[in-house]
Amino acid sequence: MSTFLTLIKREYWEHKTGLQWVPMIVGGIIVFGVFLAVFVFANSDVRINSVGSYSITDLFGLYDASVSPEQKRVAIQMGSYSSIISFAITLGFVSFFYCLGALYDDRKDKSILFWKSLPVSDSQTVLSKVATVMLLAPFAFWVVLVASNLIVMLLATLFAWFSDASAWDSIWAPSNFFGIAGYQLLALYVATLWAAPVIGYLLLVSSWTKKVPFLVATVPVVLLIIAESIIFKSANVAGYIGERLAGIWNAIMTPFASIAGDFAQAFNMDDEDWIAEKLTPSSYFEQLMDLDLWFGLVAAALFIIGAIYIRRYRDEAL
Amino acid sequence: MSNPIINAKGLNKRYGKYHALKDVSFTLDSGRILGLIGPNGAGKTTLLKSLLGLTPFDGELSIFGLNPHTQRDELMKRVCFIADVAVLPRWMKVSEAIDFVEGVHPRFSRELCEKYMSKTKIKRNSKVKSLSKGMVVQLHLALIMSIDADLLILDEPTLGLDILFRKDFYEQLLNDYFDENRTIIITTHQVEEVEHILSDLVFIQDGKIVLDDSMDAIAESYYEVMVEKEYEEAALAMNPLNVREVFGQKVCLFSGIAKSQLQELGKVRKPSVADLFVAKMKGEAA
Repeated sequence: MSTFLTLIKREYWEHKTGLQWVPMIVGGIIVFGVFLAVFVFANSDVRINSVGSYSITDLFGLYDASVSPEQKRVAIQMGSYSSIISFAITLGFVSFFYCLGALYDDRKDKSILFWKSLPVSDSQTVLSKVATVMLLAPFAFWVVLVASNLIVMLLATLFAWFSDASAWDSIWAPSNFFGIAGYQLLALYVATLWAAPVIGYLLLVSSWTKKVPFLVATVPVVLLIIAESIIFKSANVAGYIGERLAGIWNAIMTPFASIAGDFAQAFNMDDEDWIAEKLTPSSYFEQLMDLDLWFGLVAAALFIIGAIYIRRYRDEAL
Repeated sequence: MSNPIINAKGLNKRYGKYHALKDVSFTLDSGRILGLIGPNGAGKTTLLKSLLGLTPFDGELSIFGLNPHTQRDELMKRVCFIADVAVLPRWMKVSEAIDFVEGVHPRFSRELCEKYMSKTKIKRNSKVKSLSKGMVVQLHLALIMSIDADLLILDEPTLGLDILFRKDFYEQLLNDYFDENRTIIITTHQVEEVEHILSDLVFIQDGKIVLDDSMDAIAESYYEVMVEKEYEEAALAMNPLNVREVFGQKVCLFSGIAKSQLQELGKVRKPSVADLFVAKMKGEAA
């Protein structure tokens, strides 16, 4: 176990940029944006046509006084949950390039011969990379996400004070802070499960390719899609990739529906509305019961076994 | 003493049509330092790769009774190697490298490593990529020598280093690291720098072993004679392995001829490994 933890630490050391600094930059941009909005624009007036000029702090007071507590809850919870989107997209890019390099970079710079001179099995090595991208990376992004949400709420608290509104009533009480944080963690991990076969595929390419893993991973897929469309006039490959992306998207969007669903009456939503029904993602329970998710996990496992096998038995240059 | 830790019998390795190892057989006892010497492309690296389980092979090969190819994970608990000077990951910090090896190797001693590191000027906070080539080797060496391995394999460990580093390296290896429970295999082109620490010698050429003996046995069967002018013809008639000329005087290398007999021809001395190597390689090529 100490070996495995050391391997994970090793991944963190090597990929500190992607696992730590990148999410912190995303969080920093969000916090900075809110900061600008609150402290720079708070002193200026907003002109609303035919209504007149108001300071933003007055508007906040208006919001505080006029919006029902239910609606405040939906607004705040949706708002704080939605910061997951920029983190999830960034996490996707970081994970993509992490996987491509994971079993390739050390072969390229020959440091693989150092790693292989130590009593670490290739299964342990590859699994440590899987654990890094599927467990550590979402967690690292989540920690920064929650921290940036917290900072935004602290800024909002200051703003509420400037506006003579009650920060507790208008921000903290309706925020369900820990519930939203929990949704965000769950969403990132379920999305990762949907992404598993892609992760496995990228690791396999990373383990196998002799050069440019990015092109080796993407070009054949693109060619396959084109060839399939020309020869069979079908789009199964593209369809499968789309299905995976939809799974990831669904996983991220599910909590919106849950938050909205919890307060359906706040929106006066018609439960019978079929459009709303079509647009509402399935629950996490339904997603985890989805056979497609499990087929994907089996495919991921096969790809990873392949990656281990190649790394173990490749005729290594010394 | 006959407890060979390495047992190779009829080892063959082909890369397509290229026959890299041809029926290589040898054994190595515990507590020896073996020099594996051969020209470029002779099969040294292929042999080491086979020993380290980095490549599949035909034939029998066991180290500590383990098959390196199929039981590599087990083997690597007892074997350590330095493949080349440049293989430490460049992004790593020195302190991270030490922490990492400590974390994964049960036989690593941090205390020993601190001792070796204190002899160097390497800063803990530096990244490997910011170290000089010599420092990288020093670091790698400190890491590897702090591991209580039963077999250490060094492939050109001093390539590209200056003479001061090389001397320090072999001194440390012999004085601080080596003992009767350890076995070391070294390949290098700088034969003259390692010959005084070797206990065994293997020459390899075109994938075949052309000499495999202990240094003691070699000292007793190979002699080099500075032949006096008047005995030149007599010397050449005795089929020397190699003849070279130094300041107009013939120097002949003989094998299997009694020392007393040779002393009549001129001054007899122990041949250097380098001279022996040249003679052997020429002989095989002829």
